[in-house]
Amino acid sequence: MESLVLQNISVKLGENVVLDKLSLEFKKKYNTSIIGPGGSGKTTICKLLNGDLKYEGSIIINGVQIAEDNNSLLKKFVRVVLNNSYNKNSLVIDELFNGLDGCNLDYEEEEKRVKKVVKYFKLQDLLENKISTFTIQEKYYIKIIKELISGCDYLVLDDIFINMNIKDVKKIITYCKQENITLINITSEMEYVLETENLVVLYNKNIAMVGDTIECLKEEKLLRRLGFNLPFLVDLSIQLGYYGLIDKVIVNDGKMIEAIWK
Amino acid sequence: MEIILKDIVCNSTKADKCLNKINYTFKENSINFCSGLSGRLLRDLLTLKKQRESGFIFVNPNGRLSDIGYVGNNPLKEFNCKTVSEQMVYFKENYHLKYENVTEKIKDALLMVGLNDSFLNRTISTLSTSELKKVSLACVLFYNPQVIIVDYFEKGLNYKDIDYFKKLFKKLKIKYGRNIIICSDNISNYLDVLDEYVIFNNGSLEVKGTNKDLYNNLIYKYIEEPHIIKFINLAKKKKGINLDNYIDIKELIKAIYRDVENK
Repeated sequence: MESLVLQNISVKLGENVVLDKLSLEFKKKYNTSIIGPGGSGKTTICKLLNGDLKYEGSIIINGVQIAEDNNSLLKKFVRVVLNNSYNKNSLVIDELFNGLDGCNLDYEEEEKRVKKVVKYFKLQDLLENKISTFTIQEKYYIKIIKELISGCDYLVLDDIFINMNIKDVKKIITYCKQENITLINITSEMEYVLETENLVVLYNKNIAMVGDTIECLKEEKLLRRLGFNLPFLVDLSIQLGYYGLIDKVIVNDGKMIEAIWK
Repeated sequence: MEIILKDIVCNSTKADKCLNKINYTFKENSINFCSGLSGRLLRDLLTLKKQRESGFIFVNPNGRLSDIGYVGNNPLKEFNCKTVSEQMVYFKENYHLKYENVTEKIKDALLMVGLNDSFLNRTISTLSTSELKKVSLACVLFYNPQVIIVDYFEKGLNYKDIDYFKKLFKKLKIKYGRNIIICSDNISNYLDVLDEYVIFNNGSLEVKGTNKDLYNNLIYKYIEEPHIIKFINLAKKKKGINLDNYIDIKELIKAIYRDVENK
């Protein structure tokens, strides 16, 4: 099965051990959310997959180990959007073409790909605008699209959705599904974990829990102990379950109302 | 410290940095939620780093530069020293603070944001996103301003951290009389702590109110509606269920139970 595997990964930043023999598998076509308290290694995973860090252990994609210094091969499969400032003076159209750097495509194919995302994300009126004039929401939207255009297998987002509106988020998730791009979404906003099939909970430089998102969310007490709240509807389902009003987790407002007031 | 904006005009290509003849008062000793306006712009106007095109700002009582604290969404931008303690010493010198025991003051500031002594000599570039935010707030608390502007502060923090900081903001307001101005697009996290809200859009003041009218639909034309409010409104629309205007999920659950039991 196609997958992205982190095997026994350890990362040290100065004297601090940030990841300690972490092993994780991201199966192709199964989107994953990663949550964890501050300092648990979420951004480190992003930087690792962006080829920015020295590490011990292995990164294996579809059964092939990626050599530590082979960033171009890593980038072919994995694109990462980091949560750092994006204040470029370049135009949107140039940024979209920049996203294709290293893809080794001929101009015709590059143009085809740009046209495709421009049409899908309705960017026609923004192409000649400078990134630096955009709002934070717009900047992150373009920043993601710039990576999506490469046609990568895995898109890793470092808590980016928190800066965007839900409509744009849904659009990106739908595009990823449509284009067979597997999403690895690092998030501090619990509502967004419902957008992915799998959940990884990091704690103390390693994994506290991993599995199907809803099943993990049912471990309410453990999650709260680690400092997480539950998404609103999951919380409501579980609490109303204690009152005997609901017998399963419902993640749709309309269905929840129907289930309560039958 | 009361901040009165009177007929303020600022021009910018960015929507959240425009002000179009704005009249608004950030009352003293309160927690204000503010959306659609850059916290950085507000800081720059108050510290005269940016000149307005026209209008007046009254700060009452008259403050010093060090009375305006600012915690940005991207704290790395705000740091200009290598370690946490060096950064605080920089503020001490820059703001001419006369602290007898600086190290103790730094430790106290770190403790207030939930960090221990081990952060004193941590290199800023090795801090995680949430640690950066906490250190950034600690730096502000170190010079102890009258007004604290936090710009998208909750982004990247988990529930436990946000809850901790809400309690801290409340304490700063009640015990020390500070003004907290929370600039964000997410009101959900602050429903139980804000005193007043003000929503700007494209430089115009669109909606303002207090914590008594958080169910004002106008607000949610400009920012995302909190899930609890959306749910209560939907229950009314779909089934005619009249639940009160709750902002706490525990209260909502009890109300649902009572409603179902009574039927």
